[in-house]
This record gives sequence, C-alpha cells and structure tokens, in this order.
Amino acid sequence: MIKKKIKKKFVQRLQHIVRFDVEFDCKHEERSSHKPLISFIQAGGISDKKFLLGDLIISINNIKIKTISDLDFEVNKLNWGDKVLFEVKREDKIQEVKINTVSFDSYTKKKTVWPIEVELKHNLLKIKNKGIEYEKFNKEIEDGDILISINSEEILSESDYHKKRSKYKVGDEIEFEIKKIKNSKLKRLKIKLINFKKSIMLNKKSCENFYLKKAGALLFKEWEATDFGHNHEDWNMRREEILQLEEIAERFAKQEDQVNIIKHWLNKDIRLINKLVKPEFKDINFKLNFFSLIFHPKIIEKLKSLSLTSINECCYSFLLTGKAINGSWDKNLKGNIKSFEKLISVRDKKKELFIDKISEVTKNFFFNLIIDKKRELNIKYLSIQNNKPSKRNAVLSSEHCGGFENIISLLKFWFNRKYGLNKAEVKQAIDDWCKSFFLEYPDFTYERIEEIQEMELEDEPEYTEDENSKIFISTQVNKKKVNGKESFVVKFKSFPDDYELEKILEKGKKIFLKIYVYDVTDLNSDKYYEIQDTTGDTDKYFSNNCHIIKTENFSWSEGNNVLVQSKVLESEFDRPNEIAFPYSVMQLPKYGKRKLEFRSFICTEDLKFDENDGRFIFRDNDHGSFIAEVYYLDGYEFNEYGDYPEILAYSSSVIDVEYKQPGYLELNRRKYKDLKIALSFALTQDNENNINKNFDKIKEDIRYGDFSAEGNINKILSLKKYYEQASKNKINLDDILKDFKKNSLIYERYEIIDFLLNLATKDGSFSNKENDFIDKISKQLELNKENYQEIKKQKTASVKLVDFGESAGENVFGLNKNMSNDEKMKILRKEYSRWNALTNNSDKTIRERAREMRDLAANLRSEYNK
Amino acid sequence: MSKIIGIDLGTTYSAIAQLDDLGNPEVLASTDNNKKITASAIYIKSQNVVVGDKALDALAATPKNVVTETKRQMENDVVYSEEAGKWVDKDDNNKNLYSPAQISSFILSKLKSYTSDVKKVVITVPALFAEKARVATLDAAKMAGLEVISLINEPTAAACYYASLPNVKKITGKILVFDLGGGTFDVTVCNCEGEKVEVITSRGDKWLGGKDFDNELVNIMSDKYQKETGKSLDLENKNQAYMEIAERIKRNLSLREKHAEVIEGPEGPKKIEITRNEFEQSIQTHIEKLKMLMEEALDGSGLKPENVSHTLLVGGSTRIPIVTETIKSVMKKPPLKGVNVDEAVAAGAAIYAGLQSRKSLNEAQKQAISNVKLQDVCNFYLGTLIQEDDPVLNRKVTANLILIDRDTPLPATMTKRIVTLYDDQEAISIEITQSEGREKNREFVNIIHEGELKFPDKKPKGRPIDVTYKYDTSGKLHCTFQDESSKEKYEISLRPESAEDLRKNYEAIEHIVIE
Repeated sequence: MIKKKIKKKFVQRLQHIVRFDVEFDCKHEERSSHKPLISFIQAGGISDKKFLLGDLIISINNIKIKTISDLDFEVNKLNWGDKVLFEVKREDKIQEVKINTVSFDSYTKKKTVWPIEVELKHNLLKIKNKGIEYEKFNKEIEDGDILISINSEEILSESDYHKKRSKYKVGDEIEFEIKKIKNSKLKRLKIKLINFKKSIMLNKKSCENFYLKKAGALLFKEWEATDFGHNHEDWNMRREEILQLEEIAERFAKQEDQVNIIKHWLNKDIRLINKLVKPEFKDINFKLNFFSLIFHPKIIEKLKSLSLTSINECCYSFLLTGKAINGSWDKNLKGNIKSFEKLISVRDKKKELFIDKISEVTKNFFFNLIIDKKRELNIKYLSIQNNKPSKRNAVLSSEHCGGFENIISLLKFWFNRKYGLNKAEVKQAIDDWCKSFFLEYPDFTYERIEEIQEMELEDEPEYTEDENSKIFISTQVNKKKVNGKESFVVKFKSFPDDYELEKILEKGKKIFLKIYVYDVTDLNSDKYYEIQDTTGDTDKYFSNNCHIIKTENFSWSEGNNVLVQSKVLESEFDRPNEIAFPYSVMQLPKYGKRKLEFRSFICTEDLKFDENDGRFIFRDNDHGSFIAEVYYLDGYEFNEYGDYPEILAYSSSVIDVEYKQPGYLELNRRKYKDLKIALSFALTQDNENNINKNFDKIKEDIRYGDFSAEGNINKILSLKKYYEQASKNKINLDDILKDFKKNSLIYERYEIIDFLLNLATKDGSFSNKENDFIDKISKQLELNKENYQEIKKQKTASVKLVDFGESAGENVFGLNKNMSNDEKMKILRKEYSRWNALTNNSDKTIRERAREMRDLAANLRSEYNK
Repeated sequence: MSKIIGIDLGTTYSAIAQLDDLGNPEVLASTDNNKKITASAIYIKSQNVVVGDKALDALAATPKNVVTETKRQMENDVVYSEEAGKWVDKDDNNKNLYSPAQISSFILSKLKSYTSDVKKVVITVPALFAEKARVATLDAAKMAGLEVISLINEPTAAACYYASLPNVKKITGKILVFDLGGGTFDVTVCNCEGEKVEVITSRGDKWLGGKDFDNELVNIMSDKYQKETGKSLDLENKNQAYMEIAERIKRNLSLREKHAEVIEGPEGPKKIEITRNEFEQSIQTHIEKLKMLMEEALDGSGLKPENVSHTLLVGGSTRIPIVTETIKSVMKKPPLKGVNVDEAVAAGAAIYAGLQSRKSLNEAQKQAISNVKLQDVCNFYLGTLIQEDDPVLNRKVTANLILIDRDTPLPATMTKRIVTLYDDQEAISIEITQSEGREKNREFVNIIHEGELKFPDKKPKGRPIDVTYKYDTSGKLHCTFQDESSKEKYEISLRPESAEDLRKNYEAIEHIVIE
C-alpha cells in the first residue's frame, strides 16, 4: 500500500513551547528535509552534557523521527517539566538520553544570546542578522564584515562557530576578532554574554523607542505572541507587516518623489495606511483622484485649520484657486475662490450633482469622468465673508489632475507664500502635515508652523539643476526577437518628465536620446583602485580595457563605425518605450563570453561625442570622457555636482552575451584582405587566361580600407604574390581557408562567397568547376546551406550559361543521398513552384533560366516518382 | 443597343459567347465553318490577314507566314518576323513588324465579326497572366475596337459557368477547376454555394499545354523517322506542319492505343506508328508539373483531396486519358465529365459580362443570372522595393516589401508604413512590384511601375510614408505613396495604357483587311 505523505502542520499548543537548548546545522526552512544532527548545545542548559555535539536524534519518547520537523512536531506535544526520553545515534551506536525540561523561566535564564549570526560565502564567514542587544558592538560592526576568531580561536565555518559557541555560558566574556570589509582592518570587540531574559527586556525597550510607538508596541507584542519568534512562520510574517507600518508614514510624507506617489502604491500598502491613520481619517481613500480628495470633508477641515485668521485668508480657498480657471494667487481676480466654507454642488456641461444628495461612490465616479475626459469642473460653494454667507460659482481645471500629491504641491505654495517658509522649512512642514494623519503623530497646528519658523532651517545649496528640474531615466536591457531578428532591447522603465524636457525645448535647444554600447568585461574595480593609488593613469586603463561596440552597417553608425541609436526628442509623443539593437549589426571587440553595457544619454545638442570611441567630449578636451567607466566601477553619479550640464540624464544597463566570432580587435584586417585576394586567384588558378581576366576585377574590387601609400604597397605585394602562386597552381586552398576562418567575421564569409560568385559569373557563364570550387569553400567555412544556396541562385539566375555538372539535382537544389524520397519530392516541388513563378520575369535571361530550372525540377521529380 | 459579350482568347483556339434572350450563355459559331471554336492562328498575306482554321491551311505551303501561339508571347517585347518564321526580340530595325497585341487584335476582330453591334467585352486570361500580358490583351481589344469592361481569369469564368448550370446544386462545396488548354495550365480551387463562386486560390504554368504535348510527339516522330531513314525531320523550317500532324496523332491517341501517320521528310514519305504508351512516357515531365501544381493549389487553399467535392475539367487537353488518370490519382476521385470543355470559359465570360452590365439585360436574362455571384482573388503578390538589413550579408539590400498577398479576396486594400533612411532625404524612388512567389529579392520580382516621391522639406531619417495599394475586382491596381508629415503624395493607377504606343500600334494595322 502506498502511503500518502502528509505534511505535518505545526500548531502551537503552549504559550512557550518546550526548548532543549540545542541547535541543528540547517536553515529554518530546511527543517522538513534535514536530519536532527546536533550542532550546538547550550553550556549550562538542560541538554548540556546529556546530548553531545554530533548526536543524531532518532526517537523521542519512543516515537521514531527522521527529520527536524518530525522532532518539532513531537516536542510540541510536551509540557514544561516533562521528563523526555531520546534515542540518539552516537559514533554508530544507539544511546538513550533522558532530559528534564524544568521550566521556561529556567530556560530564559540559562540561554545565551549572541550578537551575530554568520554565513559562509566564498570561504569567508560573513556576519549577518545582528541582534539589538549589544549596542556598542552593533555600532562597530556591519553586515558583511568577516568573523575571524572568538577568544583567539579561529572560526572556519558555520558549524565551527556553533561548536565554539557551545562552550560559553551566560556572563562569559567573548572577544570577537572581525575584519572590516570597508577598510580590511582587523577589529577586536569584547562583549559579556547576556541571557534570553535580559534580551526580552532589551527588545521591549527598543520597541518602546520606536518613533511610532504603536508600531513598536505592536512589534513587541507580536514577538511575544509568537513565542519570541519561536513560531517562525507567524513571526516572520507579522514582523514584516509591522516594519512596513513604520515606513508608511515616511513614504506618505514623500509625495514629491515619483515612486512614492500614493496612486502608485500597492493595494496592500494602502490597506496599511488605513490601519495606521487616526480614526477620523480611516474612511479616506488616499488613492483617489485630486478632486475626490480635496472635496473630502475631513481634508477640507484639515486644510481650513491652516487658514490665517489675522488677514482672513482661507488656506483651502488658496489651494483650490490653484486649479481655478483664470484664478491667480497674486491678484484678487474673479476666478479666485474666496472664503470657501462648504461645497454645494458640482457639475460639468450636462449635469449638476448636489453633494449632500449623492453617495460617495457617485461623487468619485463623477470626478473620475471629469478628469478622464479632461472637462472643466463647475462648482457651487458656500462662501462666508464677514459672517455673510453667499453662494458662489467657480470653474476648476482638470488638466494635470493627479491625486494626493497635487494637494501637497499646492500646500507647499501656501507655506511659502503665506508663512514665508524657505524650502527646507516647507519640506519640514509638509513632512509634519502628512504625518499628522497618522496615529501617534501630533496634529499639525499653527503652533507647529511657528516652531518650524523658529528652527531657522537652512536650505540645501542649490545646484544648476535643482531637485525639481532634475531629469531621470532608468533603463533595462533584455534579449528579444524584434522583427524576426535576435536583438538587445533597451527598455525605458522610467522616462523624463515631459514638462522638464519641454522647458529645455522652449529655450530652443534640441534634445537627443543617444545609446552607445561598450564591452565592459575587462573592467575590474580592484585593478582600477590600484592604478588610482599608484600611477593614477586611469584613462589609459579605461581606453585599453573598455571598448565601444562597432558596426559595419552605415545606417546604424556614427563616426568611425561606432554603433549608436540616436533619436531627437521633439515632443511628448516621441518618447520611445524601448529601442532595439539587432545582434547581427553588432561587432564586439573580443570573442567569447562578454559583458555589454548599454549607456543611454539624454543630452542637448551641445554634447559632442568622440567619433572613434563614442565617448562624450568634456568641454575642450581632445578625447572622450571616461566618466561612464568611473560610474560603472564606483557609482560616481553623472551630473552629481553639475559638471555636465549638457547631459540631462544618464542610465546604463548591463547584459551578458556570447560572441561566437573573432572580435574586431582580434582581427587582422590586412590579413583578411590578403586571404580574399588569395581565394579569388585560387578560383581560376589552373587557367592562365582566366587568371588574367580576373586580375583587374580583383584589383579593382578588393580595397584595403585605406588609400595610404602603405596600404597600396601591401595590396600590390599581395596581388603579385598570389598572382604568381596562381599561375603556378600553387595556392594551397586548405591553408588559405583555415586562415580565412580565423580572420573573418561570419558575414564576411558570406561576402567572399558573394564576391567569388560575382567573379565567376562575370563572363556570363558559370562552369561546373567554378560551382564545385565555391561549393567547397562554402562547406569549409561552415556556411548555412540554405543561405548559401539562396545567394547562389540569385547570382546565377541571370547568367546565360550555367553548367552545374552531372549531379545537377544535388548541386542546384541541395538534394543529398541522406534525404528520403519524400523530402526530395517536397524540395523539388518547392523549387518547381519558385522557378515556375519566375517564368514571366521581365528579365529575359531570368525568364529563360527559370524555364530551364522549372523543367529540371519537374524532370528530377518524375524520375524519383518512377 | 450594343451587346456585351465574353471572349476566351486561347493559345490554340478562341471562342466568343453571349447571353441568349433567356439568359443562357450561347457560344457563337464561326461564319466561315460554323464551328464554335476558332483556331488562334493568323496567316499573313501582304496587306491581308486570314484568321482561324483557314490560316492553318497555309501551314504546309508558307509556314513562316502563319502565326500561332501568340498568347504565349503577350508579356514579351517581341515581334513576329515572317522572314525568320518566328517571334524575335523587338529592336529598332524590326519595330514595324507585328507585336503580339496586334496579332491578338486580329483574332479578336475576327471573333467580333461573328455577331453584330458588339462594343463591350469581357475577355478571359490565364489566372497567372502577368500584368504586362494583361495590358497587352487590353491593347489588343482596343485595337480591335472593343471596350473591355473586365478581364477575368479563365478558371474563374469556367467556375462561373459551372455554377450557373441548371443542375448546379450537384456541385456545391469546394471545387477544383482543372484548366489545361493549348498553351497554359491553370488550376483553381473555389468554394461554390449555389450560384455563388468564391475563388480560394489559383496556381498555373504559362508554358504548359497541348502544344507542349504536341512538341513531344514531334520529337518522337523525328526520332522514329531518323531510325528508319537515317535522317531527321526538318524541324527548323517545317515545325508548324509537323505540329499539325502531332495534334492529330494526339487526338487519335486519346481514343486508341496506337496511331499511324505518313510523314513527309527529307527521305520521302514514311509511315510512322506511335503508341499511347510511348506518348505518355514522353510527357512524364509535364504530367509531373500538373501533379505538383494540383498539390500546390490544395496546399494553398489548406485543403486535402478528400475535402474537394469535384474536379471540373476545362480545356481541350483534358481529353488526354493520362491527364484524367493523373487527376484521379491526386484527387482520389475521377473528375466530373459531361460539359463541353472547349466552350466553358467563353460561356462563363458571357455570364460575367451579363453580371457586369445588368442594365442592358432583358428581364429573362436578369432573372437567369440573378443568383450568380463571383468573388475572385488577387493572383499575385503586389509590393514595393525598399532598403532592408540583410542579416546574412550584414548590409542594406534592396528587398521587396509585400503589400497585398496572393489569394487576397478582391477588392483588397492594404496600407503599410515605410520610413526614410537618411537625414534630409529629398525623395524616395518608387518601384511597384508583382510576383507569383513570396519573393524578397529584387531579382525575382517584376517591376510594373517606377516613379519618385519628392519631399517639399527636409526631415531627419525615419520620416514616415504610408503606402496604400487598392486592387479592384477588375484587376486594376491603385497605389498611393503619401508623406505623412507634408501630406505630399504620389499616386498611380495601373494599368497604364500608353496612348502614344497604342496609337502607333493602331496605325500599323488600320489598313489591314481581316478575312
């Protein structure tokens, strides 16, 4: 009978589950698969000297167990004070172990609390998960630092750490020797081991010191409720939620950051807001649109409380005027909203809704519609001026209507204009105002504004591009097929705010998006720092180790074959979401596994790029800047100090690639041209007439890429050398091909076929011998058969005399002996169909060739069909 | 009131049909010999031309003056040289000789004379007739004083005729029309529902027909004559005459296992016997082509032989037994017999002519064809040349961008966007292409029109141009290349009938007396 494996669910029975003060060498999530092999025993604890390190527990109270989870399940049935019988496997023998569990209180007194956990990474024992109990120790140590020894005993592994820990009791002094990752210096730190009881107290205190007291209290309560984290699943989940709660108010107050705008928050985070805000704000859905929020009675009330009674200025009216058509903060214009008291109705062109008579849902729906259709919103409101109520009308614009963040930006104006707060003070005021929605934060009152004024906070120094007008882009690069071509696609995860770009365009400047690609495989930060510390010639290091990706395709290139994607950003409608680089156009500098960095610039027309290496030219320098390399290695941010005003934004993304042909740095171009000449002469090397006939064409068509005297001399020498060899029939084709393969890119291998076919068909005929020669080259260069056949068909279609020899079928249609009859029939039908379609081609030669080929295909097929 | 008629302008035989007073298609008989099919042959005797069967009579005496198989030359720039007795490439020295369109106009004029008051006409052409050949057909009609209201594909016309037959309900479903004439072969798959015919796809070979079979027979005759006498026949000068004999042998072998003829050769007359088996062996390559094209048509329509309810035969060469056997082996069932295969196309053209000019029909005629409906497809890929990256050669190459796919139901409209390659590009060159296959390579497409779209201003590369092709039911192609930013456009309606050329053509033949 097959037993179905049932996963045992851990259900906590006692408030504090029985602990034996031992640990096993595995992560918590691995407990269901790992054997209970003891790796730590608390010295002085209930298991001390009863269990031994390395014992494998095989039963508990006569119940056999296999995994740590099995053991947990059985331990969950025990009560404190029980005497428990274990069977353990110790040095291949089964032994019984009896343990008295005593009490939870006794456990808390004897259990030591250690300040760190460790993890073995790349043979280094790295520190992780620091506790809060040892404050001084905590300040000195960072996650990632390396543990060397405890009390001068070297620690080599995680199990070694547990083994060494097993020696120490509560109150023992421990000296840690730790290597700081930051500066590689050794640090010795001493602590006195505390017990778990004290740890509970310290944790409680720490939670009480949380800025959000409720969250802190909740955190401790949950820790206690989950048996001080012993019930792992529950604790991890709750802790995460509570810590998030702590962050909520901070995030909420940072509405000026695009990422923190509430409408972009996940719904689960929005639910957290509702848990944490003061009861009177619980029914506000902060994710709603600007109108729904600004017309929420609680927000109206909160904003009105900021009004300046002395000069009878209503803060709320001021804010609404920011949306009023023809309204202005500076003048007492008709459009301004004055002494707003209460909203009476809202209407668009068609209908009027009375606020008191409609539900919240209807109201929100209406506002959404107004914003979606970009209509103007007509409002009727009650205004009280000099205690005289009157009904007034106003028209609000729904242009640029976002959500809560719009209220914040309008409020900033209020603080600045009416209270004269500087930027830093406005920031503080906004922070406090936002947080005042939350539990435990004080309400935001006029007194608080006065306090802020007295703080005399200083504004941060302003750079050329201040925070508000800074443009950001963020990119990501992936491999993808675009229009059937394998490509790298640079995806713009975020694109600059149109408004900021428009501002620059208004100044009459052209803005470009430019993407260059570099091979950064050989850049190494250790080497870079070493050079920086020694010779300081990092420019040379970068120019030798970081190369631009090039292309032979002129429509993709700038300057000296530099691969670039360049786009003028003219209006908000031409922002690309992604830009592709077909793999086939890219020439990498080196062969093999490479790392490519796609560097995206948004820049003004003033920024110039070096035509040889694509790097931007900084001011009057005569070469490109290596700042992108520095940025790649140590994160020094572009424009951090306003050094590059022409660069409006920069982002880079890295991807791995395998380049399966020689890189352009590895190729000897002259060698390639020499071999091309050699192959061209080899085509006719046994026929002197043809050698002479081809000489001119070879001479004319093969260029050395430069017209310098040196280039021409090389070319002439090469022509002479291979002409002589060909005349004596001494060109060794196999050697040439071997060399050619080493020195050519894949497309150049097709190009030589193309060239040889041109050469062979130049006289209007294509002989069987020429066909065999080119077939052989194609085979040895390992070209794709179909691609090769297609090129050959194109080149020979308009040649008057074609002789494919005896085995024409095999030669012309690519049939071979390994094919089944069905495969051959299929190919022949395809060929017949193709050539038949060409029998009415406007070129007479093609027409006649097509008829020949069509008949040949039909004839062969009828032979196979017999 | 002038009549509207249908004409089947064939490679070896032609026919003319009209709707009778009750709306039934009626193939008109020759006024010379009362035959319903007229040989597509011309005998040129100075200022006169003799058209039809009588022209063939001159083959024995003056073979070089007899022109046959003109239809096969319609797409070529050739003229008929009486001196050489064959079609030769047109050049400055021979430009006054007869072009294929002029010769065809004589045939059309002859057919026109079988009835009175004919002005408007529907002419049938092979499904895969190239644009140039279609234009030449239109020119021929104009020179013959006929206004072509539509060119219709031969198998479509045949399907139209079959669909209008009184017992039409028997042949509903997917139908394969097998049209093997004297010079061309078309195979068309269509869907017939009652009298509604929807063409799905057509395949064909413009150089496959009865004449090719005759040619094989002439080769057998020559071989046998040589075996007997040691000398071969004078195929260079007397080919036409031997072809006449071969056709007779072919007809006989369709009924008997063997046939003997007395052949005149350099060594005097010899009796030569040819068996049906010998004949069938000699045409194996052609039979293979028929098979392949049927398979292609089935594949192109996404059908298997068992999904096709009937195969309809059109064209005289379908009488050859091995042809019907081949059909049976591919389609897994014998073809449908019982209709006059020589007249079906002309009769279908007459029905289509009626459909195109309902106003001029009487009530009975209107009633008779009221339910006939026809949906044809585009038989070519229509495209334009663009510059494109070639991933193999890693450079820009000229490639064919297809706008309208083959087998697209007519009328069809398609727009695609292309962009400029360079900054400040001043113009784009326009090359409209036509191809039977899905060709990317410019070598393998026909350029049917060339032009240029100039831009009024300068723009960076990537300037969008919308290319729109409209192909109507009469086979007229309207192309627009519009610059999106300036709205500047280049428009062309094909077929272009060059008035100047046509006038010259007409002047050359206006004094000719047609017998």
